[in-house]
Amino acid sequence: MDKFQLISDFIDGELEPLLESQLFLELSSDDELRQKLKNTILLKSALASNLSAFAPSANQTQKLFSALGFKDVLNPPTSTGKIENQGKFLNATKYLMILLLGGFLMFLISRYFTDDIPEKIITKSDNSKHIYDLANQIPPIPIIKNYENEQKLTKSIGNKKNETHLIANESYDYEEFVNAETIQTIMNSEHKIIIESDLFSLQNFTSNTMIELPFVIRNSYPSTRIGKFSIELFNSHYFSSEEPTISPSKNAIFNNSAIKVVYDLSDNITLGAEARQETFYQVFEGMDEFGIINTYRQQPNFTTIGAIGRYKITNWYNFIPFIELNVGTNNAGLVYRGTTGITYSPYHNFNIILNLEYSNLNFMHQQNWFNSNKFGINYGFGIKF
Amino acid sequence: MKKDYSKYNDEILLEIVRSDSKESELAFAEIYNRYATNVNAYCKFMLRDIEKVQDIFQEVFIRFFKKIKSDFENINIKAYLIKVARNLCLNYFKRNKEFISIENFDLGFTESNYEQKELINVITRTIDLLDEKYKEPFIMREIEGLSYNEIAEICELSVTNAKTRVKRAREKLLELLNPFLKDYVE
Repeated sequence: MDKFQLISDFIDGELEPLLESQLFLELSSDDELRQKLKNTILLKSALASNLSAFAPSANQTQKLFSALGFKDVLNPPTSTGKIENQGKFLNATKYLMILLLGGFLMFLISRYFTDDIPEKIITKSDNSKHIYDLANQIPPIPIIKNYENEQKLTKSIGNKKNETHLIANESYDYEEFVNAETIQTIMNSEHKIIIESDLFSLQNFTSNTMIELPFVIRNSYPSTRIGKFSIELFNSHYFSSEEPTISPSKNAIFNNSAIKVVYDLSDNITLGAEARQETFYQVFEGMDEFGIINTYRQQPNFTTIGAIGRYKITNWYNFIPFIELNVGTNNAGLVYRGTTGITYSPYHNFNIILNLEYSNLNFMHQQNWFNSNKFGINYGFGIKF
Repeated sequence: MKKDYSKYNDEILLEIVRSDSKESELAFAEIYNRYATNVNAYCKFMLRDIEKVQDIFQEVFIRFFKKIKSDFENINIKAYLIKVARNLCLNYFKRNKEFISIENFDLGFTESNYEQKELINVITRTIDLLDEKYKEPFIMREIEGLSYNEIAEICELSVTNAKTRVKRAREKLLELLNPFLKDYVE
């Protein structure tokens, strides 16, 4: 076999082991052959690695899709023959900007709906319905503080500190395609060549290169770009099941706001965690230090940390109705929520979310359990990373 | 749920295109995304006339789209596209024999690396000097990444013949490029 045939077969990955040994033997003593091998490899790798230079122009693409009468495919490229990232609606900077803007808007909204009235923390009434306010007092339940056996309760109900916990969680997004075998049989012609010798070293060049073209497919979400984590920011309006007879205590920054970190476990199931700043209107009974049974009313701030399970029912033209269950905790007790709502995704990594929610705070006072209920309308947005 | 078409293999994408569903266009666009560069590269190497390249490029995909819609047979998409491109190029050659200046041909390189760009330009121009019977299998092999079986089928050659032609093309190219490549490698 002629020497260049050996090189050619070697480059194609089709040289038999025995002949491969022969080739290396020849190379060790033949300068010209070594040079030919180097040049052949250079030629092959140069051509293979520059296939992108032959990408059709945006104009060609647009023309073709117009000729085919396609409407669902966008063609926004601004240059030709270039590997671009135009399929991404949001790059990292935009993500950051939207988060900052969203956070700022939430802050403004929360401030707008915040009462700046002096603290009017609790209303106490005994059985004779004598009512008086304890203004400007912290903590808000001074009535029970003298009871030794109620130390726990003073911790469980009271003025709440503002805390925000960002909860790290895993996330995930896309459906796995069941039949994800080799993209195309023709790709079997791809060869990886690794040559290591004292002559030179060249690794992993291929005879085929997948190229990204300069156009965008709507609804096509390359998995390498979009992750399964999302951050969602919400603002809420609440309506207590019982008409409050007392104003909320001084509202915290970001009152009625929530941040959620969610992970798409599958197309339909999403898990996550949330931190929420909120108030609950609490009505409960207890005995004061004079042995009188009182009814207490308060509306303190809570930072509630919760776990989320969300089921997405379907995807109808990028509208995704869902139901969500949420179990959380705050300084007063356990919070259970049931939510139903809808997500709209104008872009693959940006969602607008609107939902209705029922929340129940289950708390204990003097060994008795009480419930506080409220309804809420939540609105916000999510960004997928 | 939203679909990531890039995860689908060709066979599934073809099924979606055939289905006439609202996803059909997106699936076809994904196929286009995968192979348009190969088709365009082939047309550019074979024709050199940028306007004609664009015409034939478009015609290839239109014919391909019609074939998908009319024929349920599973096909090797890349090989099919190259075959259609080849036939259209050959028809064009038969009808039109005029010389097309290589100087008018813009490859559209975007590399910032000047040396790399220069290398590719030199190689590209040198490929053009090859005899057609060597040039074509060489392009199919080195640019398109087709297997020798596919090259043999498209060019109606034996596999051995296809291999030999590619080998001779390489040999001839090296001979022509030797002075340049020698400097480049060193």
